[in-house]
Amino acid sequence: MRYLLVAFLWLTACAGNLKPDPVPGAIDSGYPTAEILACGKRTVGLAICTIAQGDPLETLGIRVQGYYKGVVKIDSEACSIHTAQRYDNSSTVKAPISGPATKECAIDFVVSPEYPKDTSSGLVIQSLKGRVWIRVIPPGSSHFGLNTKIRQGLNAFLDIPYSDTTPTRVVFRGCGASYDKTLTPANGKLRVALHDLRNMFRVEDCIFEGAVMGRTPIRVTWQVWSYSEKFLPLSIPTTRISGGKLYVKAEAAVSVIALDRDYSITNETEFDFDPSRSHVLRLATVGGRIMIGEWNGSWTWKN
Amino acid sequence: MDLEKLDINKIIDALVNLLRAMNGGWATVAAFLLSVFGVAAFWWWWNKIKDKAAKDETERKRREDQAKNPKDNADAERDGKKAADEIEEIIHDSERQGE
Repeated sequence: MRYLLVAFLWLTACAGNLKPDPVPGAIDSGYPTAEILACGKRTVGLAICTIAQGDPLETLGIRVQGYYKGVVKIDSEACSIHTAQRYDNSSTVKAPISGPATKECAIDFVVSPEYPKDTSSGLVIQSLKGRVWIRVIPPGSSHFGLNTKIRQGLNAFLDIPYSDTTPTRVVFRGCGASYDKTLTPANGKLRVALHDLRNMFRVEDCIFEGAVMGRTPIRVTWQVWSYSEKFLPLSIPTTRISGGKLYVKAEAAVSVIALDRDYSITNETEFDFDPSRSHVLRLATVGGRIMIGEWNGSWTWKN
Repeated sequence: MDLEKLDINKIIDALVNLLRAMNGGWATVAAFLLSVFGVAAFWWWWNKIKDKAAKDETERKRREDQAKNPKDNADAERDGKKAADEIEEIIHDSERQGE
C-alpha cells in the first residue's frame, strides 16, 4: 500500500512536466539562442548575410524557427519591419523583407514559445532572442563574416583567411573601436584580438565592421555578443542510434526534446529515426537555453 | 508554513498509521479516501496558485522582452551602419590614393 501510494503521487507530480532551469535565462544573460535560417545556413542566435547593392532582399531567405506554438516579434528600423506573428506546429516564421538592398539593417527576433504544459508547470517560460545583420556591399567585392559569443571579460580572436604573405593594413570601426594596424599574415590568415578592438566587461552586443586593405580590399564583419559569466550554455546530449530508433539523454534541466516536428516534454526520450535522411534535433530549457544537432550522417552541434 | 518543504514521506506515514489505527471496516476506507482526496485537493489548489503566478510572470517577461526589441534594434543598426559607412569611406579614400 505504502509503495503504491508513493508511486501514484510521484507519477502525478512529475510525469511529463516542464522542469526548472537553475542557470540564469539566456535572454537576460545576453546570450542569443533563437534558431535562425538565413543565407542558406542554420545558426543559433546570430547570423550575418551579405548582399550586393541592388540585389533583392528576399533571396536571403531569412526565417526564424518557432518552438511548439507561440509568438515571434520581428523588428528592424532600417528595413521597416515591426511585426508580431503567431505560429504553431513548430513552423518557421519568415522575416517580411523585400525590394532591392540599399542599406545595412539588423533584423531582431524575439521568439516566445507556449509549450503544451505552460499552465501546469508553475514555471516561467523565457523567450529566445536572435539577430541577423545584413551587410550591403558593392557588386563584385569580397566579404568575410563571423559571429562570436564570448563570456564577458574573456578575449576572442578573429582569424581572417588571407593568402598573401606581405604585411597588410587592417582597419575596424563600430562599438567605439578605432582599429588601424598593419598585420603580418601567418598560416594563411590574419589574426585580430577582440581586446585590441574593445574590452567588453559588461553584457552587450557589438557589430564591428572592418576591411583588409590588400590589393583587392576584403570587407569584414565581426558580430560579437558578450554574455554574463553566470550563464552556462547547454551541453551536448548523449545519443544512440539502434534498430531504427534514436535514443536521446540530455542534462536534467532540459524540458523539451524535439526531432524535426516530433516533440517530447522530457529530458530523456526516443524517436523513430532514419539515418539515411537529414534530421534536426532540438533541446530546450524553460530558461531559453538551446542545443541544436544537425544530422547528415553524423551530428553537428550548435548552441 | 513553507509548503515547498512539505515532506511527502511524513504525509504517507501519517496516512498509513491512520489506516492501521482504525483497524478495518467501512469507516477506515472512508477515512482513508477522504484523506487522499483532501491531500489531492490541497495539492491541486496549491499548484493552481503557483501556475497562475508563473503564467503572469511569463507574460510580463514576454511583453518586456518584446517591447525592448525595437530599442535594441535601433541602437545596433545605428552603430553598425555608422561603422559600415566609415569603412566604405576608408576603402574609397585608399582606392583614390592608389589611382
